Amino acid sequence: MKILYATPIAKRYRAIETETRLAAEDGHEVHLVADRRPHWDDHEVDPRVTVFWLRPNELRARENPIVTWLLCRLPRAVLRRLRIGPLTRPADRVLRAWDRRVAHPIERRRRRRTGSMRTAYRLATLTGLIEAHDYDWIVLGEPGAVDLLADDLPALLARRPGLRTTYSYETFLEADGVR
Amino acid sequence: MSAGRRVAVVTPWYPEAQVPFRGSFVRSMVEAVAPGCERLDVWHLNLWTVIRPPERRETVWRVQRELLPRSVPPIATASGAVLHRVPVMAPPLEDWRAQSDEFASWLGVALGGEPIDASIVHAHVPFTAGWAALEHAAPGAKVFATEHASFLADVLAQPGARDRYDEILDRLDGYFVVGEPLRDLVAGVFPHHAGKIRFIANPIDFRAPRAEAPRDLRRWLSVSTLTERKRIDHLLRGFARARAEDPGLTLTVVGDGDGRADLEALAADLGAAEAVDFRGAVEPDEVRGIMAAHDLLVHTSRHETFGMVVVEALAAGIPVLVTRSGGPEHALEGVEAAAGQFVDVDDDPAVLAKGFAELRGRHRTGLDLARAREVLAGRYGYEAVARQHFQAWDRAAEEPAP
Repeated sequence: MKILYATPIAKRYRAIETETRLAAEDGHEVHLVADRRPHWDDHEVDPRVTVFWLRPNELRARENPIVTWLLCRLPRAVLRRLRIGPLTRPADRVLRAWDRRVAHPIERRRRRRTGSMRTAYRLATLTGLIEAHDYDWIVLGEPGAVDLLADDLPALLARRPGLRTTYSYETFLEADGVR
Repeated sequence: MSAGRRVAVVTPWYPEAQVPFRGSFVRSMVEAVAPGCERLDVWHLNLWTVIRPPERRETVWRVQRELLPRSVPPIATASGAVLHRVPVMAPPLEDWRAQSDEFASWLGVALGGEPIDASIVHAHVPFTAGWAALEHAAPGAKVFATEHASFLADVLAQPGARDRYDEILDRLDGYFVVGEPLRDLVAGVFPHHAGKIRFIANPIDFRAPRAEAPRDLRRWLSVSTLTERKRIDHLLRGFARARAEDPGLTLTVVGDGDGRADLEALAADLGAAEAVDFRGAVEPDEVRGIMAAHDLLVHTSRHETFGMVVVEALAAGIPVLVTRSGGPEHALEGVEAAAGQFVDVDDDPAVLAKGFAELRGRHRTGLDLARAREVLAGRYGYEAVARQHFQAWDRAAEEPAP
């Protein structure tokens, strides 16, 4: 069978390593989609498994440089310099107020946009693979996989009621002629 | 499997690929009792924490309710039993009562609205799996639960959770604890249920110990998660102290945890880095062999409900140096001197080193590992523990329904 092992967050390293290997040993064609975390610099996925690494950390929402410089960096630099001299207390107060009212909301907005970009990237990769490969079986190996596909799964299952879904790959008992 | 007993075991812990040692004692229980059952199903309610805003959670929950009944095919597990792994999605909760509701709710979804198909349901950890078992047991089924949780005091500190636990105790047909500290805690909080509390052991494999008792106690071993409660930092300090007297000592630390890097640094600071081998987590099946290849198990925990690893070490044929942390005193009652040496829970590493020196001084003539094993096998061996379960289940089955 053609299996997609979906772990877009991919913190369950041992499970990913063990279960994809077991699936490959059982003769399945296994595709793994997972966040490329530092763990994998020292650990290997079974070579029979086709891996689609996600690299969401390379994505970062851009902020208008004028906004960044004029509203965040420049005022902070000036106020921090002032804090060293005799104006320590008022400068500190103004810096904290500036951060609270101006700089932090800008940064929060950028973080939210970055988060949305990364989610969209993960989702596009996953749904792209599902469309392209016509899998027989999807392993939703972590809550993040269910979360990411939550808006798409009902339609997918309605379209393909025979698609097998599980939360792990293990030595399942014979059922419906599978394995 | 033999005829007669149709049993379901409901548990929040069971070994899985990600954490192969978590709940290995539940698998041992299954392995011990399954041969005496006509059918045994294990429902592993595996907690999946979901950190998402409430509105997104609603969407995820809705999809999960559709997915779950079609996504948990049965899995072969120990001694012919059948395992069903059910993810229990829950937000990070500090409210234990709410958490027990999540366990019951997701088990209901996995069962597709049907009750658990068993006349005997045995749960591990009453406030999560026990509550789920009670809510979904078939009419007339007898429900039992065993308490193992080392954090039960935290649970019972919450009024809502305490009320829920009271109700659970009321409804159960049998309630067991694995050690005296838990019995004292539960009987203290619920004196009206004190008469219902029974002891039951975690089964331990006593087959094939090492060929001969250790001649010298040079190769220390620790098998434990690397958490604060287990006090591995204290073990390292005590080991360094003992090693100052005998540089030939070595220590193997089996287990993993967030504190590992700090502990490795501490071993280096103590000048013992080359004598300490951090093995990390290993498969449960490997532990027995590792124990047999060492001379002494050292267990420095602050608090244990049972202290299974201590009995496992004796089953493997090595003595123990263990803190008086609650469970182990109860587990080794009557064979303390034959099995090894107890030391107090004391942050002074000299106490551990002194305990080791005393044990070493008498280990050739003062220990009787064969007798300790024989006594403990009668209490905690697979056959003994299976018998304890069967007696409790069969006695309840014979009682007329209220």
